[in-house]
Amino acid sequence: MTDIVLLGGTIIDGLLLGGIYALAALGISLTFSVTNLLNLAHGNLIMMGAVLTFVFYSLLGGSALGPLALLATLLLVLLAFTALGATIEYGLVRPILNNFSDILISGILVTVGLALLLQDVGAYILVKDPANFSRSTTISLTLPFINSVVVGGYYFASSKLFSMIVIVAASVGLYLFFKRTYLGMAMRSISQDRDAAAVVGVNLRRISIITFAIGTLFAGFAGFILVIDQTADPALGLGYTIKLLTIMVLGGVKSPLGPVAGGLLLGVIELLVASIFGAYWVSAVSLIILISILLISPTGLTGRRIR
Amino acid sequence: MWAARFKRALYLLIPLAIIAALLPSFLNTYIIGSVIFLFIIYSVLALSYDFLAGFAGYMNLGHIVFFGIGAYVAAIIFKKLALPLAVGVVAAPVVVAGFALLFSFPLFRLKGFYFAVAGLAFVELSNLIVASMNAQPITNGFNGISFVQADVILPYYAALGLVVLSILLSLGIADSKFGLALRSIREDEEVADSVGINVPRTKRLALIISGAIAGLDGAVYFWGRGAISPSAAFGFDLAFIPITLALMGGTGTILGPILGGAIYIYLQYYAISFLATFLPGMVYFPNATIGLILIIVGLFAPRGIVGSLRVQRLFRRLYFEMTK
Repeated sequence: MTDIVLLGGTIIDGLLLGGIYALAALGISLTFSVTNLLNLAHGNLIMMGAVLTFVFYSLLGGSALGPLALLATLLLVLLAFTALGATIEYGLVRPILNNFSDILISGILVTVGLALLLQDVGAYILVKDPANFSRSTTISLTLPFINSVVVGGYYFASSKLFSMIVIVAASVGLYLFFKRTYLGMAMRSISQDRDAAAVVGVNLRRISIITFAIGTLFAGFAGFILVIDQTADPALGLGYTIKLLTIMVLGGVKSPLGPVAGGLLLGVIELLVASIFGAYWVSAVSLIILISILLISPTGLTGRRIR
Repeated sequence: MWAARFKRALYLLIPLAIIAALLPSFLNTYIIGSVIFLFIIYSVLALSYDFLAGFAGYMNLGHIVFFGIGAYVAAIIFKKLALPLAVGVVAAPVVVAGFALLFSFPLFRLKGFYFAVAGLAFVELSNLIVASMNAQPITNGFNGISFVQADVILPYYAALGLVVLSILLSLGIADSKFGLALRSIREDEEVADSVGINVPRTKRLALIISGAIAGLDGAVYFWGRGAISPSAAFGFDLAFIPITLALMGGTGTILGPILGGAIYIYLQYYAISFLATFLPGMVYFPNATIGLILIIVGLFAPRGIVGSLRVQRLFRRLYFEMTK
């Protein structure tokens, strides 16, 4: 009996962890499906989201102002990341898409370069004091107004429930956005056939920059939830990016439901592994899943070749 | 043509090797043991990465794994089995070649982007395994394996021999039938297959040679530095060094990776500390330097410095056609 209760608790915690992964994976799969360029800096953008949330929240007076400061922080982070995403598209992604036929190598180089750059910037923002400078400074927000909630015998921090609701809302919203709005349909048309979309009058440049702004915004959002629910440190970026790749390969990128399903699944598997083999091997889970899926199906489960 | 190019390269290589061999009598041990030694180690790492990437066009982001395994093989044989270090250094490339053979079967099922990503996953997986509690008795976990290395001259000569070996190997492959087969694989695998090239075997051999040299490089690194740890062998930031150097200098050339190594070491040891006198914050951005180089290379010169046409013309004028 207790085993089943424990298992239930692990699965629910896994779903909550997977929710953050889902939110993070929504952004990277959106930008990938529209521009065909895989942003390997996405994990580091999430890290920056966490760092900026931490910094803005302390600047705004932190827990003295309570939920209001948190809301203002969220708005600031989202604004900053929309601008950052547009800048990345304009400065880095567009030149690659315009100039080179081989976007694979240029794409890997530029986005990994951005990732390494962001890693140092994040560490620098957190610790300016040379005496105890460290690249693995762990940050997390302790919010006094967050309580435990009891649901059916399980205890949750209310922040986790809040983030779960936000994640569900965001993925449903994105799904409707793709199905119903002009912008969403234009994005889907580009991901299906770039040239044909251009022929029927879709403005490639405009859609591309909007896509990157939204994708990066989702990264910032994921960072915001991450630093509230879990802990973050400046070095987590590339490891997170690999997790996101695993999720994309697991769930597929064709509709926003894919990353959400993949993210939730990965979260549950990770916590199950942690409860059996110990927390150390959690990071190995996504690597092993990624490698084995690629070996079983060399083009990824999406069946889509990434050029 | 092959013999002529080889001879021309030797005319340049022999004087350079003699100068490098005489350097220890002019420079102090810090410069030899740290700066120039690491320059050679990184150059060999980038050169061996380019055996696969430059010839066959496979971007192996997991190349650093071979370097790390090589260093650990030497360290374990020396410290845990208490055999002479020389045995470790000799055994390292053999063991790594075995690993490369093993990895080649799953890895070459993949191409392009997925090949690169799987390599990156292998780096992190090796890091986790080597640093884990379960491997503690063999690898000392997080702390790594170290010994007191007082002599920097002998490892320096070993590294020098290694870089000469790599250059000769690279030259030898370039104009051999094997090199031609690899280049035809880079252009089009199916066409290469149709003209009778055994594509899987050729790629596997390239990975094994590339891995063995990187493994030997790792063993020499351990010999010279006297220490190896999971982050120094399988770190993410380390994983991008061979790629950065080869692509910055010019992939598919012999001079490129070496030039990349020289620029990187110059930035690391001199330019950053020089800039730090104006901008004190510079010391906090060691990875950002690699990052910026990657972005600039990716945006403006995917063929690297040597690969760009203007530089090639200059070299040709200097009667120095080392481009493969």
